[in-house]
Amino acid sequence: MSMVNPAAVPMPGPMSNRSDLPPSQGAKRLPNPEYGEQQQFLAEQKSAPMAKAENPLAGIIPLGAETRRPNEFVTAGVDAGPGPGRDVLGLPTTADTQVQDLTMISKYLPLMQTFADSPNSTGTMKAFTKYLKSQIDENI
Amino acid sequence: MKIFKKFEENLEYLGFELAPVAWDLARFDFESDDDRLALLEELTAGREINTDGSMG
Repeated sequence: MSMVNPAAVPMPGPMSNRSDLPPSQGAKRLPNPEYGEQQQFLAEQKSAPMAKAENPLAGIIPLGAETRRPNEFVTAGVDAGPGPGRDVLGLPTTADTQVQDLTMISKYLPLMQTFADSPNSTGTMKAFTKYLKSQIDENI
Repeated sequence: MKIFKKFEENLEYLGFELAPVAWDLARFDFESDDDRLALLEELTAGREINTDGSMG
């Protein structure tokens, strides 16, 4: 199996060729053109230049860089240490998730009650429907 | 009603506080019921459920 486009390996010293830069988008050439076709192909490419490829490494902050938020505690957003706690992140709390879960399960409450009253139930479902109702009254 | 039977069994293992998990496991398509019970055993190993449905 032959490699069509092997990765560029930088040469040492003056021959060095940085491989961390985005690939250039120079004019492409036809591999097997008819007479005059190559020239026309190149001219067409020059008439509509391609956008420069974005550097994928642009905007990445190095690990050893100085902080860009010098007035913010490293523990900001965590319920420990100085600075604001988890609530500033606006993430759903455990209580929010519980209410969401209860709302989802409560849709089946009538069917659960039917099952609880059936001889197939061991009695746990009856206790659970009572528990679920109390939780709904408290939270929803 | 089969799903409610499984849900009830799951509740007996997991407790009422984990009802959402019990519900998901009741709906999950296990290869066999033994697999579901084995998972419940694994999840609750060393734990006991109180009379009010909470885990001890």
